[in-house]
Amino acid sequence: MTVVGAADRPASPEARFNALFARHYPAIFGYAARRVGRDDAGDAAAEVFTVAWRRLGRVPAEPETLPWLYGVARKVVANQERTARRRLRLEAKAAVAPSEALAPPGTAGLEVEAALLRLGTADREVLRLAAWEELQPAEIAAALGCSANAAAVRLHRARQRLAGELNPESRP
Amino acid sequence: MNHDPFDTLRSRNPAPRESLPEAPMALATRITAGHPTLRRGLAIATAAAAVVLVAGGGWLIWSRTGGRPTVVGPTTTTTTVPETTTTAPATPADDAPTVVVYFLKDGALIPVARNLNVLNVRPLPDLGPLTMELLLSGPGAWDAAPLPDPVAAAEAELTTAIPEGTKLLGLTISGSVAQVDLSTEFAAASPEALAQVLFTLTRLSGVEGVTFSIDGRLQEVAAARLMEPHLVLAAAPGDPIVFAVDRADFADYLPPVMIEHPALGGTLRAGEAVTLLFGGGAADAILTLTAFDGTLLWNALATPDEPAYLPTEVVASLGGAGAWATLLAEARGADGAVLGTSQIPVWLEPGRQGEATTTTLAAPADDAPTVVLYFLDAATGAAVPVARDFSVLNVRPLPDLGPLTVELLLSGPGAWDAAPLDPPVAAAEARLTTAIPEGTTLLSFSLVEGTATVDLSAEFLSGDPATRNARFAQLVFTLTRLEGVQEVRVLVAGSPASPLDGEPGPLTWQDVDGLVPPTVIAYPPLGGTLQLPGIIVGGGFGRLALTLVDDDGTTLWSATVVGGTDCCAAAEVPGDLVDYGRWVALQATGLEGGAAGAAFEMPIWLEPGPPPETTTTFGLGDLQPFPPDMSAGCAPETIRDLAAFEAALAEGRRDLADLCAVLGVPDWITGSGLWIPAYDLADGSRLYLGYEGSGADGLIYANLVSPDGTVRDLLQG
Repeated sequence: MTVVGAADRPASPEARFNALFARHYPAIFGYAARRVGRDDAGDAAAEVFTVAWRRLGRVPAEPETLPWLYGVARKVVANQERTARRRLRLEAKAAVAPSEALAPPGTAGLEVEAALLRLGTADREVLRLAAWEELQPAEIAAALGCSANAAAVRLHRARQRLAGELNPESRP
Repeated sequence: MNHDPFDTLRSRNPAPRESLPEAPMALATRITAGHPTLRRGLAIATAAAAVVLVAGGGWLIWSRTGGRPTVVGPTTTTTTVPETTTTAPATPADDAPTVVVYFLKDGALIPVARNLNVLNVRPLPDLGPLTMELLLSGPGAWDAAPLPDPVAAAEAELTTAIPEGTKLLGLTISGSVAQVDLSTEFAAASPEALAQVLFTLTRLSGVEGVTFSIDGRLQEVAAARLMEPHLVLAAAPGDPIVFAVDRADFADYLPPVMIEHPALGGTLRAGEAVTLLFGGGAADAILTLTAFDGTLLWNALATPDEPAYLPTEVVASLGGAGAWATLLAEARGADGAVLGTSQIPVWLEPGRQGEATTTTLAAPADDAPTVVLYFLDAATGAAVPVARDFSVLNVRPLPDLGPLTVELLLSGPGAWDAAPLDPPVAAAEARLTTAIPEGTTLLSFSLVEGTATVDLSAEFLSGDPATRNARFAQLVFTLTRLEGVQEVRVLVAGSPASPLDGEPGPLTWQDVDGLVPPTVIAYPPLGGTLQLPGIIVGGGFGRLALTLVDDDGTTLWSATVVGGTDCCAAAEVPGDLVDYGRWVALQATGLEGGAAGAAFEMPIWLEPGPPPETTTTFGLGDLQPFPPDMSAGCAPETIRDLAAFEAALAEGRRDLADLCAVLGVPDWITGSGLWIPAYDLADGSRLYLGYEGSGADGLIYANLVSPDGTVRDLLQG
């Protein structure tokens, strides 16, 4: 007769959450840091994982977990930026723009970042997801809530527009 | 630049992978002090203060006091203490979900309102600890929702004297005295900081005095400063009440005039008194209420003996709905000289006309807050109820459920900003449409005596007139689904509007019921939760075939239901279909009668109901069915002969395999740390065998729990 202890029962929600948290926190922190700066990234990441905990039953299984978390992070960051903009207006004092919160490495490629800022929000996000989060189109699709095909097309067009921003003559 | 700028972009990652921090597991522990969807109501009841942490959006607490190891343990909250008054620590009634905390403006105390409607946590946590946490967090830290502009502007001028990093270690309310225990940062607190805590706590109903402890050591308040008690009180050793201070002790710290009610950002209803506290020799005060465009609304004189009441017509002149205004109080000395002023933004509202009148809708009371919106099946035009779940924390709703619901309806299917819709829901919502023209905005919302008045922009009546009736149906279905709303008066740009061929006037559910093809499934809503055992309700009459299909295509359950002549078809779904929550497809086909020919499919979240009642004697986790693969050596049939079992114990038999031969296969297992098989006996009692480890030595108790709750350990004889 084998006596089975509590540890052999299905993983508790806490254990599942802790595993998910340990695996994906760095990536979500990085996502937030790239958009709102390191100072606020911790708050944003905490909020993302609070959502994940409260909706633990609906967090998709691997490998879709991280794209789903990116999708939540996108909304959280958007909310934080809205709040930050409100504060700026109200207090009418200079604040650090999100993209300046982290000193970029080196000085080369400033044109690329300037060009990135001139693109639309949707283009910017799809390019960042591909370049910085290193997501595949299918994962971008999960993060943005669109089909993989649409994500691939969006990425392609965004890359074209980025190139166009840098080479005005070649613009279609 | 010849190479692909995308590669340049890639090389300029501002937070490259190798620079990222490891996951701070302490944060995970703090987050899980809340509760996941599947364990609704478990953690929330036992760790109310931990919920504060989550409820504050994580944002509030983490941004101010990151790294705080504990907030307020459930043992230090007030409701668990027997002598606690029942009024103060109770969670706020849903019709007045506001607490008031005291900050400083130009060094003078000022009460500030915090609206709890935006906390998407129900039940609301204990009011006392929640209020203290909000006070310690400081002004402007209320990011559960954006503050309204006038309030945010006013809060930008506020400060706090409470030393940064001060933590709440405990709060007990005994009789009329609140005993607050704060961390060592507070030991050197200024008189203003003490006054902030004192005024905040004595604003709680029933609280008149406050005692201060630092890290568990009771302090004496002398000259408005904390000090270690310098004498032992022989008369009442250990009785902290003698150290209590009240507002009179801090009267010197009152400004010439303080507007006690309404608080900054709070609500002033027509007919209510403006309550003032006077200090510094002020004799009376002139009140001036000004609209934001500079219009003078009201002017009055208030004295300590005669408060001023806001006349009803002042609010009525604003159109009867709520509005922001500025309230200014000028304190005058006996000689008429102005001694000081106080100015705050306040929200004006019509008064309550009897019990039934309400101007705000309480947030949903259950712990799965959901509103239901009605969209249209793109194929048939039938109205489809759709669930919107508020348990997601980062939603930034308007504080009032009524306007929020209308806004969600106006934004159409698929639009939900809080978190990505789950894929089955997103796919189902893609098959929905709305008849409400794009660009329609909500101008105002009010609710009086069960009649909601909704004023929409002119776009509501634009576009194809053929869909006009469906718009009214969507709006009235959605709003009358809210508790407390019986009928809806629709205004467009201020003028009454009605469906085609309809009379302008309040519309009930029945008035619009025939305007669109009948709803196939009325409950649960699309994307909603069905907790088992539960009931599925059809919307139309006639015979309906219902099927629940798992995501792998398995049919979980099916039934044919028939609606009566006066009601809908309904079927009860048994409780044992699923053992964990998941999305399933609910398919409905109309067979005959009013629903004939209808075919409809939608996702619902199916989850097991609450576990069977467990005895609290052990508190060792939920009962799980005993796995059949662990019954080797057990008697094939359930015998449940208690006398034989006691005889076996008396012979010294302890091993479960051995005892199994006597009693049969256990029905349940439970335990955490211990391993506890359990037997249900014929008389309704239950026998728990507590095993600390495997083998004969492991049995540490055999508790027989009678239906009346009495416990007898058979091992003790």
